[in-house]
Amino acid sequence: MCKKIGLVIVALALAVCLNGSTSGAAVKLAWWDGLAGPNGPLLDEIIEKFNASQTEIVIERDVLTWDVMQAKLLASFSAGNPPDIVSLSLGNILEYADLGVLYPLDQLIAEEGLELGDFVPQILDALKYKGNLYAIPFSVLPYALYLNVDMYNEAGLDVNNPPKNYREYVEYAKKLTIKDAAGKVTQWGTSATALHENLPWLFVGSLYQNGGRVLNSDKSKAIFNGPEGVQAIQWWRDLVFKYNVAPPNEEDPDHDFEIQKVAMNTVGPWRVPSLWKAKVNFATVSVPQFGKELAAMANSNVMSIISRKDPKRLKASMKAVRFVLDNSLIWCRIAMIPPTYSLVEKVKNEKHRAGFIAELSYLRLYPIVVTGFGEALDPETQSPIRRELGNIMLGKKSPQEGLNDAVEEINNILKRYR
Amino acid sequence: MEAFGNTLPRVSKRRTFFTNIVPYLFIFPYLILFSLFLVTPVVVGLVVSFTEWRIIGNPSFVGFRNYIELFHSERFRGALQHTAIIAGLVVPVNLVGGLLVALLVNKNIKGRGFARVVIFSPYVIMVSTVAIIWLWIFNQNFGLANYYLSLLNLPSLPWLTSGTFAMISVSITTNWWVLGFCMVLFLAGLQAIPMHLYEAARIDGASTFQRFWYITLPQLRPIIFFVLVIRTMEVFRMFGQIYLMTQGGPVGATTTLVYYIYQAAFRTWRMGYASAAAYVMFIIVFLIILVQFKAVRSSIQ
Repeated sequence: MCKKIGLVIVALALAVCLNGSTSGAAVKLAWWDGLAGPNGPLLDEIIEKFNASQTEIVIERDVLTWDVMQAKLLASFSAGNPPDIVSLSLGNILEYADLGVLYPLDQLIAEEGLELGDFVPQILDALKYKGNLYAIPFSVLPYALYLNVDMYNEAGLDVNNPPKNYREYVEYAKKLTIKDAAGKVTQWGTSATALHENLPWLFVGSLYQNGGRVLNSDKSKAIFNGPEGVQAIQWWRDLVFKYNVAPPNEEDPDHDFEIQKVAMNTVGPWRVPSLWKAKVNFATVSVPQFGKELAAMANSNVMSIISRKDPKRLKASMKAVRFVLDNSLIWCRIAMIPPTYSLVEKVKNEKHRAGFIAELSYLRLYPIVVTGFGEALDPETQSPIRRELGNIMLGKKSPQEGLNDAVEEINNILKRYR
Repeated sequence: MEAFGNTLPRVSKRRTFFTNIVPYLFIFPYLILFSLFLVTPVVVGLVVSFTEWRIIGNPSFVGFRNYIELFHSERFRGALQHTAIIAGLVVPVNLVGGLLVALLVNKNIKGRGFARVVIFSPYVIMVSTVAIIWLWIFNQNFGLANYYLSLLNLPSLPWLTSGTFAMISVSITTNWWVLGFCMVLFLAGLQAIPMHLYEAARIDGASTFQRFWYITLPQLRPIIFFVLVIRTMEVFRMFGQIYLMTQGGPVGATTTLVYYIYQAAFRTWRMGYASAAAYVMFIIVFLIILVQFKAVRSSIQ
């Protein structure tokens, strides 16, 4: 009996050793991201494909929420066990690069033979710090105008002839706003949020269209409280207070569009999957130009490699990044826009893509500062820009007063970091 | 006797040693975890509060600068004010509401077991679920609360879109969530009151109100104090509802102390400043509890 048990133990030990030696040959790379939405399983699909395509490298993906990932990432640097590859939000790339925790990719890109000229250039520019590239995009996420086709048809409007400028936008929104017998609005022409994280994006987009800028050339001061800024937010505010075509105090414009209470909403392509799921009959078109300059806002999903001394791991990480990039069409299957023109060419005729793709030549990005972004400009926190724009959209402050307060507070923050 | 006297102390010493050490062995695993995850961060946090530190890289010593900045910060004062208002909207309701509900379900009425379960059940729900449920209810344009108001021909309310209402909404959510927990505590207190006190009072002709005022309330004092302290601390630590329902908005109106600290630490990477804010919060909570202790002790005396 004892002999039998002994044999079993030896067999088990051998099995463990053999198994260990097989997997030990492969480099295991930790990948962290906050992409838990409908596209999340598509990234799993790419990673599984990569792991099956070769035996030297294994990617182990860890999906977290953005907030948790940020906290975990910061702690992992202190603990000395950061991941190998991380998908950060654009606002944080430069700060992480400045702290020296991201690996400058230029040499690895050259060794990998990756052609950067094919990428949408505005996104790449935002990922450069002191002349080096610190992330590679695997999608472009332009903001476009979503139209509810049924509501358009009922109002006698043509979705193939969407509003091109502010005058038309107001005119369309008026036709799309419906009131009941008691005078209560049952359907709004457009969203114009006061409290959602989209608000700073909408404002900055209109500011760019109006020829304005958020920061001065050396990014040391906020300068968006000039006449261009005042008019940019006034456009959105008037939709609520002057024309009564947008819901007041709007919390979540994306949700309002999805439940078909508003007819037009401006947001990125990440909203497409949930609208498909909710069976909303909608179209996406390029954003109307409120001002004299062509501009549309864009975000991006990007991959960065964490700094480390082991060249083998760095090369393995670059191979993995390259694979995800080359297979980004899988990731972009649900309406995202691929990051290179050659890949864009392959999806340009697919449903709900044209409006986004038409904007590629004039995309602009949200302003980023190296330090203090989270405190001063982050649209996702109660940063001064989001708070004061909210005050303006709630009617608590005039556009000039709100923008002045935001600029003053942002400049104090930026001054502290200098 | 001599021999007995020689052997007994030796055994007794060994026994005494083991008797003394055994309890410590039992709490040793907890002590390790307690030291690692509570004492160490508390001490390190104090040191960090005197530095400027972005987690990555080395901290630089800045003396009292973080504390000075805190006292000059309008946002910090705002966070303190918001926390105090929410505490004012939550803690009294927890106390009075919890006690009233406990009195009700302590009566020998039909279906009281079911009522107890129904009232307590929200407390077992995770904060994320609680927040999502109430977000739906409080949506200004298309939420359930305003739908019912419209059925009554009442105007819709900006539940989460006006600063004042957002605080009320968060407080309603919190009260709904924890009232059952307070009820259970009060119920335990009520059931521990000896019945003969009530019987004696009844014989003496005491009314229902007199029995409540002169027997129930004094007997419940330790529980009332416990609920007061626990709930005050919990409200100061409130995070989940704010994070999920308002993200400190609208326009910063529900940014409570802990949410402010969280933002400073993990959104703006100012660990030193966040640690200083956490220490100031600790001192404030400590002082409040101290005042509550004194007040309750003097009322008992």
